[in-house]
Amino acid sequence: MESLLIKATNSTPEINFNFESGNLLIKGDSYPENAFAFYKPVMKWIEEFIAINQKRINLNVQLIYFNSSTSKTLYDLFDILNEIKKDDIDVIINWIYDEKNYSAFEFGEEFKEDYELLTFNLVPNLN
Amino acid sequence: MNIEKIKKYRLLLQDNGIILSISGVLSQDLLSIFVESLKAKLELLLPINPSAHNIFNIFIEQAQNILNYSKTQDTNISSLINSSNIIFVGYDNDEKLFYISSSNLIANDDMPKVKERIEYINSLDSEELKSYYKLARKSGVKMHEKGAGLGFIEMAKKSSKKLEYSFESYDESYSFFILKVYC
Repeated sequence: MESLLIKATNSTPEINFNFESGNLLIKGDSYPENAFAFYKPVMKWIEEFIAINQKRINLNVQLIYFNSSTSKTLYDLFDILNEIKKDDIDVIINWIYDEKNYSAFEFGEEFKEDYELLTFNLVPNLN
Repeated sequence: MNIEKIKKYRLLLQDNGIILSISGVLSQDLLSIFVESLKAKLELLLPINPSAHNIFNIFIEQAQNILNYSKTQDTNISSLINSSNIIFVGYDNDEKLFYISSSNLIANDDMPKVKERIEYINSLDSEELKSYYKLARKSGVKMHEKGAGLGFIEMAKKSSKKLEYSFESYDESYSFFILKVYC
């Protein structure tokens, strides 16, 4: 299985999913016209990865501006990870937010409340 | 538009604190360019103010509501609909708040459900809004082809006031939907 790399644009984030390490990154802005279409290959990759890899997943999400359909898609993505957590696979989600961006922090907090099973860390970005 | 009208138009924009005014054709590409240029200005102006992020969230939701909705219309009237979209980002000097407002044509048949939805959202307090948002995001009940159906809830969550709206009759099939959201 190959790693997944998608370059960032103004309205879509960088996707960097490394097959070898299990380190997955979503970084940038995310307000595509059709979030479901943009994230479709991302979800597909994760599902295939889970089917092969039974070790660990470390997902870093570092989003600045994102729209409500991205929020829905992220929810569905975390839902998939929440399911495999039940199979004792090590899943860590780091929600990295800019300290000045209260909105992103609030989103992180709300996701964390929804997924109590997951190790969901709220990490301030100090850069 | 003649010179006199342009002067009046300019004064109207000024009097209403408009910092960005979009009318006519809108596309996702244009939207992302507007977001980038607003970002550069507002992040300088409001370096540690959370409202900069709320302005973007609300602006993007309103613009994409219009983009997604317009595409579902009949092709014979779609050019008319596209050219009649309006979006403003402004600063209300009395309220000391930024606001985003927009106007687009919607089918009269869709009016009752839009009205019902906004009225329901406006009836919720901030804790209830948060729970409703989570529920709608989880269940996807209001989902459609391109959106999660969360736009109005998202805007209400980010706003310090209730959503203001109005419908103005256009013809027997369509009305102008006008929305104003304070940050």
